[in-house]
Amino acid sequence: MDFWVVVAEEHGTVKPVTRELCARAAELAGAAGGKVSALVLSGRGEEINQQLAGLGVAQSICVNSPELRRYRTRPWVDAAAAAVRAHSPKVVLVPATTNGREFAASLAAALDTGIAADATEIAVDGGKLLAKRPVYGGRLVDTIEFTGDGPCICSVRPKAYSDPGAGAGDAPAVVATEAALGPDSLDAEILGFAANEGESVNLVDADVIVSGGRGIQDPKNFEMIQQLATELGGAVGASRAVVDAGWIPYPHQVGQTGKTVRPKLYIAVGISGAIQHLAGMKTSETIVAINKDAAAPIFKIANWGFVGDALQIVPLLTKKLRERKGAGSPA
Amino acid sequence: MKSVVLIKQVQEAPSVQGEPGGPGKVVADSQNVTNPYDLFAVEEGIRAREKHGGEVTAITLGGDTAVESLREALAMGVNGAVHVKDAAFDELDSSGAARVLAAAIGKVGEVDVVFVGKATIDTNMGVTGPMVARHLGMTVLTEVFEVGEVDVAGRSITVKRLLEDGLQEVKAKLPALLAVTKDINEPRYASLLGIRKAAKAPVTVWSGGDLGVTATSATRVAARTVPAARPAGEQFQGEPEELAEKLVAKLVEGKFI
Repeated sequence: MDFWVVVAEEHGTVKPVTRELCARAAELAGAAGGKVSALVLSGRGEEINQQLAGLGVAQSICVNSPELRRYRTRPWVDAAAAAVRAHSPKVVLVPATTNGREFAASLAAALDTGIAADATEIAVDGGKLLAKRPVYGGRLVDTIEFTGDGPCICSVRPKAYSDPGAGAGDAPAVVATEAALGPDSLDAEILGFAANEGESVNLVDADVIVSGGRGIQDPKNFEMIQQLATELGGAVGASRAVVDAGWIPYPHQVGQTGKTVRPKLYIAVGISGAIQHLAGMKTSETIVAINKDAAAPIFKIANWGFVGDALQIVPLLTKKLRERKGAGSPA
Repeated sequence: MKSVVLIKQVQEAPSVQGEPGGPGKVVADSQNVTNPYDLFAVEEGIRAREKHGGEVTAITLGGDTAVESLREALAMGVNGAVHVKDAAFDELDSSGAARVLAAAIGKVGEVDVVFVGKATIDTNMGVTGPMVARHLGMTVLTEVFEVGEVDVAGRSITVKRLLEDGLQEVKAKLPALLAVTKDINEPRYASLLGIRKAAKAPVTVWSGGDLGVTATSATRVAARTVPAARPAGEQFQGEPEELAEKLVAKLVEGKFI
């Protein structure tokens, strides 16, 4: 039972989710008697191959073409589908990033096979891949079983498995091929990209997230949220209510209609914990809630609940954190 | 410009049954609604017609009640409605549904743009749209929050997409399938006149036989469970100063600082 992991990288640095999936695939392939291959489509196989050392990856299948340097769905899927047909892996794991989700679904269609999207857990039972994924706003979890003959395409959420970190040892063997891409493969051209302003780390990748809700009372209090997030090296999230009210832009929204996040630490400030919000963050490792209302639903899932006035507690907290660091700047 | 909007009827907020960690199921105790994301797609389809002319057709795959969603789309202003209905399609997975919907779009004719919502609120896969696009050889564009220039004669469309770390602008070939986010527009309310007209408007019904497809699933839901409950947490009360101090201590304890 051979596993492939589609490598997600940025400017020659593999993303943590790549290591997470390689390491998990190695566990499963080891138990099921198969090997793990990394599929590198960006043409930067030479640069990144060493970063795949120590993860249990037997080989890197590098499909090269100038048209693949920058991610675009059609040429990546065409190249990947050809490689899958040539090598017939049983499972193809794809990081469930925005582009990864689009890629995985398109790849499954190209191969006329099934998909489990946004898996939070993958396992093998009796030679079959099983993928768990949340449904109905995270209130239920489905276990998807692949019943067809084709390869199992599965997109897996970042942080579903812990990042083993950069490994040491020999880099995987490189199997390099050229992609044969016709004009039909080139159906989109990226005109531009504007990075989110004032954000050193995006919500999905962040280890720490500080989120604000109605309870912070005023849009200008997002400054207080930002300061705490900055102090903890984290990103700023928000509830749907404050996004809908225009206090902060939509890319910050955490929840069923926003982003699903799984940081190590999630601090919910003035968020009551509507079920739609919980759907997007309840699998965070440690949840801290600060809220005036002791009966707020957020306290039911919080590891540490603080009942009190967020507008006072948060600035005090930031000040204390700064003092500990000895930065000395007054809050 | 000829476009299609794919919509799905879902339960608005059904309750779930089961004990944490054990088997669970959805209870059909909630009203049926059009998947909220799909209304943004319907609105965008109507706006495209208003701007570029042509027509927009809503298609749904579902049981008898799914026609209600088609009526809603008609009331909002789509020109035509197609109900793909076949008992053989009841339990299809996304890959099977994508095959059926692709066939239905093919039967509608040469389409320039297909609009879909980014995902449905029930199973939240978000894969059917991209799969349909692939089957039809259309450019796939997900997470679209703004449609820019559309050059139907020149066969191109420009959109903005919302990625994790920023906004991407893409110029793509037509035909294209756009999966839209909730921020793209504000869906209009149907007018009273619109609702009255929609109630009488014809809805085309196609079966698997009409479409010439026998779709099959490649996956199945082997188990549905209620997630294990999080262990009960600690709750602290007191003066802000004490609470902030306690939180610092907890962050130290958790090795976050």
